[in-house]
Amino acid sequence: MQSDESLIEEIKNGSQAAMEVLVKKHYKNIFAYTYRKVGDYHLAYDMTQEIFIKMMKSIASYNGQGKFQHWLLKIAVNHCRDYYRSSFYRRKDELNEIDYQLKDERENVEDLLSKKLESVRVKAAVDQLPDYQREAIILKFYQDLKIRQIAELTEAKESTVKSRLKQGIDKLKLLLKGGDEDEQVQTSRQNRHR
Amino acid sequence: MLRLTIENISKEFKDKNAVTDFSAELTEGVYALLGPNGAGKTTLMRMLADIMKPSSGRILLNGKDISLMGDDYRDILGYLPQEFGLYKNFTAVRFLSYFASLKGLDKKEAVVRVEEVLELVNLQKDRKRKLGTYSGGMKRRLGIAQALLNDPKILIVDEPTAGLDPQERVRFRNLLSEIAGDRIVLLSTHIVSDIEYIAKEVLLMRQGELIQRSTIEKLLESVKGKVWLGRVEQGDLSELQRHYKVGNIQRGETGIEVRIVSDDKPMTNAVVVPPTLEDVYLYFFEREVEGVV
Amino acid sequence: MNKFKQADKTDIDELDDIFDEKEYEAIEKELSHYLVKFPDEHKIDATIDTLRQYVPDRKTQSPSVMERLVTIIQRAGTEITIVSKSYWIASTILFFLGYLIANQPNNDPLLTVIFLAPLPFIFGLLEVFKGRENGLLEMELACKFSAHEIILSRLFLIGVYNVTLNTVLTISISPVTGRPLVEMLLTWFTPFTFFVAIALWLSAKFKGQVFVTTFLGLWLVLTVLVLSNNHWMEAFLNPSPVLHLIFLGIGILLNGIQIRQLIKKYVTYEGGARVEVNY
Repeated sequence: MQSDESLIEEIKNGSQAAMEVLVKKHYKNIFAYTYRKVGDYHLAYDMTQEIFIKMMKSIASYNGQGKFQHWLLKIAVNHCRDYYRSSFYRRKDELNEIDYQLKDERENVEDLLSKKLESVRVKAAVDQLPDYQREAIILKFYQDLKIRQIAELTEAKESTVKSRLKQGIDKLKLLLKGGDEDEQVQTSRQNRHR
Repeated sequence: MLRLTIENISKEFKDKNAVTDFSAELTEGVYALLGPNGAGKTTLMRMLADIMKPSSGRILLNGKDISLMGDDYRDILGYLPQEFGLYKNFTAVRFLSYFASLKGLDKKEAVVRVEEVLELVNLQKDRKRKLGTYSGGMKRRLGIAQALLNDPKILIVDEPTAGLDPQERVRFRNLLSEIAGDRIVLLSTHIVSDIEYIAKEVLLMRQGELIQRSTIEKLLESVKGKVWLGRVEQGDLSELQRHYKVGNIQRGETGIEVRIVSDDKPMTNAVVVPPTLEDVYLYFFEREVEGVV
Repeated sequence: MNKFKQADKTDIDELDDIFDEKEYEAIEKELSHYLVKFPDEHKIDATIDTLRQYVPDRKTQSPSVMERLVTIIQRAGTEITIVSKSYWIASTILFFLGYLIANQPNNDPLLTVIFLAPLPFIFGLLEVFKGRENGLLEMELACKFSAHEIILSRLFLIGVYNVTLNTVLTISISPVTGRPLVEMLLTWFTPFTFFVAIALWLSAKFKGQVFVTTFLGLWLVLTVLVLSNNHWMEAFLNPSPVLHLIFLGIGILLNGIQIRQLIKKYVTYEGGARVEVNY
């Protein structure tokens, strides 16, 4: 497989094919991050597209320093943060309340049939974490980054990342062990709408 | 066919969000961007003029991102900012000729076009005068002439009627409807009478967000039955203003006649009257109505 | 001791002061149950199609830089009429003044050129940023030939005029000094590049009057310092060739950086607005 750097070189020279390869190579990773961060499939799809547009717009300024994957992930992290900061998010979320319930119920049925119940349970717990803790947990466990890398990416001190992780994991343990599922899905929703 | 698509654009400054997740699609015709000062109108227009980059989101012209079009976009753009200066020692003709050259018109074309736009804005008589001697209204008209030089497909004018006297406002309104034709015209204002007869659609903006987008008829329709006229004593006026959105107040011999926008009947002697755009504005924007200066 | 271990610690070790290994593995395992439902192929392709327009156009990319440069230089012709007449007159007077001072017997004519050289350029910068100073920046930005290009065009015009003036002055005094022409040209040109770089930097930061006053202040201090110190005077007039070339290189580099910054700044409204006149 071609390296990211050589693909970027080709993109800068106008290669559509190279862009396609590069995007396909990183698509799932970015989508997975975004999905776990925002917790909604459709929103994650739109945001992933926006993240890749941002990538294309600033690709000329990528100077090859640091891994491309991290550079791209940083765009994703910032884009998700911007979304949470916008007041639109808060408003839209209220409107979508009913959607959520319907969707979650439907998913529940599907998931009972397959073995995805467990996934729904963990998702509900992760969704309930405060933003910064969720961000750190996803980067650590799903993106397999080192604490130093997370600190770099999120522009925080290593000690800050560590304490976010600790608090996040503590909270997760609590969420995953105590209480029954229905209750958790409920609280998760409330949390989201705040 | 022109189609300007505004796709989820936001603009953040250090301390605040000026525009938040704004989406709209514009085709040929006059659009009015209506909202109180500080609603984010200027920021939105600057982004549409491609002189400011959105923090997120895109603006597409017939499907193409305008930030990629560069001077191809500026070639079909006419833009008049809210505040602008002029070269005071220049005459109108010299000023416009210079801008014609900036807009890429060749010399012959420019000579003809400069005269055309001077006529459009009714400044032929003052074409040889130094701009330093121009009145506020004349400067504004010259600014509009500047924006029209390249016969733009997209015309963006920010608060174009600020500083114009009532007569000039009327003339400007006529001018706009005259030149609208096959282009997209977007003008911002916080004065509703500017747009009454010319806007194909009104975009209401508040705190950076698009809160309503509709034709003038539909807007009027939406406040129908909510506009009241009633009489009060002087002593009750301030109490009334605290609870209701009070528009026009007229003092007469038999007491004070007030215009109120309210979902329910504000007082026993109130009667429903047909709404005007001013009432619509009051309905959506609290007490931020500003009189004609 | 601990420092050594840190170099190659594993993921688990990173948090081992907070959690024990078993605990960590348990949470890791539990988290791994969280599955992501990915968009299907055809939805990913839709995203890719949206991205297509952002791939740079092969044909129009590289030659346009050259073309741009040519238009900017051609444009300078039109800009001559925009630069105010008083500027052209004032700089020409300065030139004659320079000629008179240089022909005084009691100082080195070359020194006069060194210190007079940047002055027309400084006042010229006021003309370069005339649009900004008069509140026309926003309108210029929206024109096909945009604000940063206007600035570059005028910069080119002023630069060429300034260098021409100085060169003529140098040639006119060359019989007096008896030095080789190239050497003389370089002697004023190197400090000139530094003056220009500083001036560009200041002008990007401050409004017209502030920047001119600041620059003239700096310029005056430096002039007095050098003129009152024979060592420094010597260093300015007869630098070693190697040192000279190094300084020339640095000067040109600094100018390159400043011009790049300037372009970046005046491509959008955000960059230039802070300096624009308020009213």
